[in-house]
Amino acid sequence: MKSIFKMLLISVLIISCSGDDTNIIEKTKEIEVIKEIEVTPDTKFDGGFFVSAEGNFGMKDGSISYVTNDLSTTTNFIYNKVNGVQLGGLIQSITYNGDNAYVILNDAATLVIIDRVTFKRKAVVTSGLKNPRYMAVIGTKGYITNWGEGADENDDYVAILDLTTNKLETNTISLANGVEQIVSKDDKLFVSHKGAFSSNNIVSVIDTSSNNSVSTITVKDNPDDMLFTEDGSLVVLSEGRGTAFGGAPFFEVLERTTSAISFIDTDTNEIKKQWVFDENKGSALLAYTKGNLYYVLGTDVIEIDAEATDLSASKEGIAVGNVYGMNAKEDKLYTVSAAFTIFSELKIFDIPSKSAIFSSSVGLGASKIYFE
Amino acid sequence: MKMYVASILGMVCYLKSVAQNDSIQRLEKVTVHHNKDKRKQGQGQKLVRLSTEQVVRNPTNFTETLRYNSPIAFRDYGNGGTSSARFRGTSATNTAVLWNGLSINAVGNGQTDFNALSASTTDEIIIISGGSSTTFGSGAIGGVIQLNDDLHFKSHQNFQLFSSYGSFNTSSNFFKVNVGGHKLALKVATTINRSDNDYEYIDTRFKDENDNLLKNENANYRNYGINTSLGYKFSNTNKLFFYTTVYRSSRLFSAGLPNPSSGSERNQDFYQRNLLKWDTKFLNFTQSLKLGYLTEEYRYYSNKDAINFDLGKSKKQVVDYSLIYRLSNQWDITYFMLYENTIGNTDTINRRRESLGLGGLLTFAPNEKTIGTLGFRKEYNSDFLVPVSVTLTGEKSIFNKFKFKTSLSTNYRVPTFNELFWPVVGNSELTPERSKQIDFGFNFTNKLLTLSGTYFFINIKDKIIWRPIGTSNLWRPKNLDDVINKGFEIALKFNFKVLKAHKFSINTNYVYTQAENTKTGKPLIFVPLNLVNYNIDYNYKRFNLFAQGLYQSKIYTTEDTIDFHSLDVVNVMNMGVNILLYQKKNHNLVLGSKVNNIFNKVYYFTNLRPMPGRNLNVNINYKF
Repeated sequence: MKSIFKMLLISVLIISCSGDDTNIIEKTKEIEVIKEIEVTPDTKFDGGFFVSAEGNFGMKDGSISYVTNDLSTTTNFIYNKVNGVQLGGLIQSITYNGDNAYVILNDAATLVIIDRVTFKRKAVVTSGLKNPRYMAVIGTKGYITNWGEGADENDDYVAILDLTTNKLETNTISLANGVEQIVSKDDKLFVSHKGAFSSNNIVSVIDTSSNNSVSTITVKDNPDDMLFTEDGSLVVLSEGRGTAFGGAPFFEVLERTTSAISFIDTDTNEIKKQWVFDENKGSALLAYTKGNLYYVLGTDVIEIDAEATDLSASKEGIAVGNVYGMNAKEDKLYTVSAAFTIFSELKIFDIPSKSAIFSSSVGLGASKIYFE
Repeated sequence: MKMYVASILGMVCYLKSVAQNDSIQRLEKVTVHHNKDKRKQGQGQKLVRLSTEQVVRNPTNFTETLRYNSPIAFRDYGNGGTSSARFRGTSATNTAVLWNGLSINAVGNGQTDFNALSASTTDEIIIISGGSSTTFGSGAIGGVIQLNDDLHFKSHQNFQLFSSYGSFNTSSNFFKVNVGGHKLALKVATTINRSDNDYEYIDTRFKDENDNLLKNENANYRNYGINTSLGYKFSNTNKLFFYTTVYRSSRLFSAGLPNPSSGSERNQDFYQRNLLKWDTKFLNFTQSLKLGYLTEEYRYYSNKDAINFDLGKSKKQVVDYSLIYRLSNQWDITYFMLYENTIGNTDTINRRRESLGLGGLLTFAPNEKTIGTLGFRKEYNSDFLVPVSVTLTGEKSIFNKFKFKTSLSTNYRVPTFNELFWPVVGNSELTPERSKQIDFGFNFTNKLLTLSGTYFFINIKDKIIWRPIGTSNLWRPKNLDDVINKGFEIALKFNFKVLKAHKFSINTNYVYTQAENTKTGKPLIFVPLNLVNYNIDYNYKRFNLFAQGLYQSKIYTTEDTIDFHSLDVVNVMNMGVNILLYQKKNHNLVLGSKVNNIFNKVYYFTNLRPMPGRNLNVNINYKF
């Protein structure tokens, strides 16, 4: 796995070095942008949902799109339009809290704090972060996972942001290698350890009411997506670690360690239930709505009742194609296509009928959909 | 993983750089009838010559020198970053740079970094617009830049010391010694340049945590070069030359906006170039034999404090031979042969390439006012087939004031080591880019004015483009595109006097470039439609006042041509004064001062890499 990473790194290096001739958009397929709204300083981005896009490699051109709730308009580059300037980085994730949206720019090691409704920039954090990934909030504090150096397995940490001053505290919480997503429940933080450049198989639990003491839960390899079900269980998707790959250029994962969906009791930190995928099969994206879980397998999204005992209860999939991000709300499934040099396609599916009901182009490398 | 790849990219994409400012003048080269070595002179093409005297106005780096004095557009990442040329809208690999006649484009990526080159130690910079692969081989599509060292076989002893110091602790210096007699000539030149390069980003749309403007952190650089040339004249027809140059550079790569404090990259460049040249004449033959040995190395540290670095190294052995036979007063035949043995190493590549180029040139000059050439070149390359390149040129003078020039040529650019062999994504099936080109131009010269205009048309087929593989994050080079670049270059030099003592001169370049990917119908990225630079001088007795400027129209940074991926118009101006403090016999001492970006404009040559605001330097130029 590491060697593959190394190769990727190198390939990317060379690409960026020759970047002159690189960043050319190839429209394999024209996707209509649904009518845009005209952005003025008074525009309120309220009531709809947002799509964040990582941007083109090395171009630091991550962007955010806004879709009105009635799906009548999609407006791209809204931060740029409001503030007259790019965010200037790869948008790793956005966390919404109170009046603010906290945008993490991974490559720029920057947190940009913006007004969630007007999208005006309010503050920025430029020091104390190193490969920041995700943020979760408890009370007046934001907790931001950081890889440190991606290849260094001993420098991962959680930075603590004072939400009242928008400044980082000087103390940090050191964690094991490869911190990724972070979610909160009551006084507890749960951090999945996907493994950064290598691999890991734990979820760290930080008890903020107990001097930030850390305990760990062992799950399957490369845990990433996490969410809570209605009954309060923490659901963790472990992608499994690739152990054998197809050749260049795709490096398709031929063999991998076990991929699984684990259900954790957040009071006891015990795994209540674990759904294990078939050998060498795995999923990388997970969503939840109305009591059902949705996971991506290949080019399908598959529905399963969260109460099921194992994956055999999976239902027939919805063909979504090659997706890079997914979310679900009520009866709708939202996906964004994997596209880094062309605009990504946002598609909305009606779950009961399994049919696509909406499509629009959104930013390059779109990766996440936020309903907050 | 997705993020990982992208973040790495973010870290590494620094390869370009910037410049500060000064001015220069330009002379249209008049091709001398029956010049010794016609194949070096850009027959039928537009040719601009810059000298050291002009370089001192823009001493910070070579990018800056060319940006204000040549028709070439540059994409750079600031003074400490890397810089690449886009000559007539062509890509960085389509400009060939030659040092005393040897190609010095990097073996790995086929480009030249114009901020990692000690151009201030050379005596003469010649810029030839247009295609000339027949003469210069791979990469001579957009144009050619020659860096030449002069050796004179006459009794002389000349020294020149230039030193400038300015804002951001920036210092650029060189010292040149030219001595010689009738038999022996020696030139030694050294240059040392450094800068903290920690200027404030004057773009107020970006602020730091405390609402202050950001600074260009992690961006300092220092470099030095030594250039030694030695010539010995056995007789008027038998001369031996040896040239050697060594260069060392260490620079930090800024992270740029929005968070320059996150920068941690460092890059070191080293090169050594050696050339032995033997020129002889006998009967009606003129021959030149060059033996070259060139090495280069870079070390890239993603973390400047770490021990680990990525290494790239190359060695190149060159045998370059030309023989001119003068058939008559009107006809010349030139035969030439270029053998190159190139070894390229990185952490993961270890490759050797051999190439042999053979060609000939027939020159016909029926009278002093007319000259035509027909040439071809065939290269044999151990890695792939290279097409034959052909050139047909003509020049005709009329009334001693007009000269018409035309050139038809086919040219090529061979795939680089990186494109072919990079692990995983290298594509061993690449073939050379091929171009067909037309130049048609005129010169007009009288006492006051030199005006040249050149129309150009370039069609490049099998353009090598990096594209993502399927929907993956891996990019791979392919012979994908077909591009057409067309437009015109205008150069004007105008001198006049007012009341005898007040002298004015205006020197300007204007380039109009329409560059389009014919497959997508989109304009090529980083190509300005309009590019203007100018130098205006006013001289009165010992006093000189000058202004120089650059205008570059809006450019797109990706082919989607949306404003989100564009850079605004650049319109920047510098002003300076020079005072001749002391002049006696061979002594000439000039004290100068210059304000760069005098109107404190925010401008960019690469996204998120703001250039410095108003800044100052003082300099001294002493020739003795």
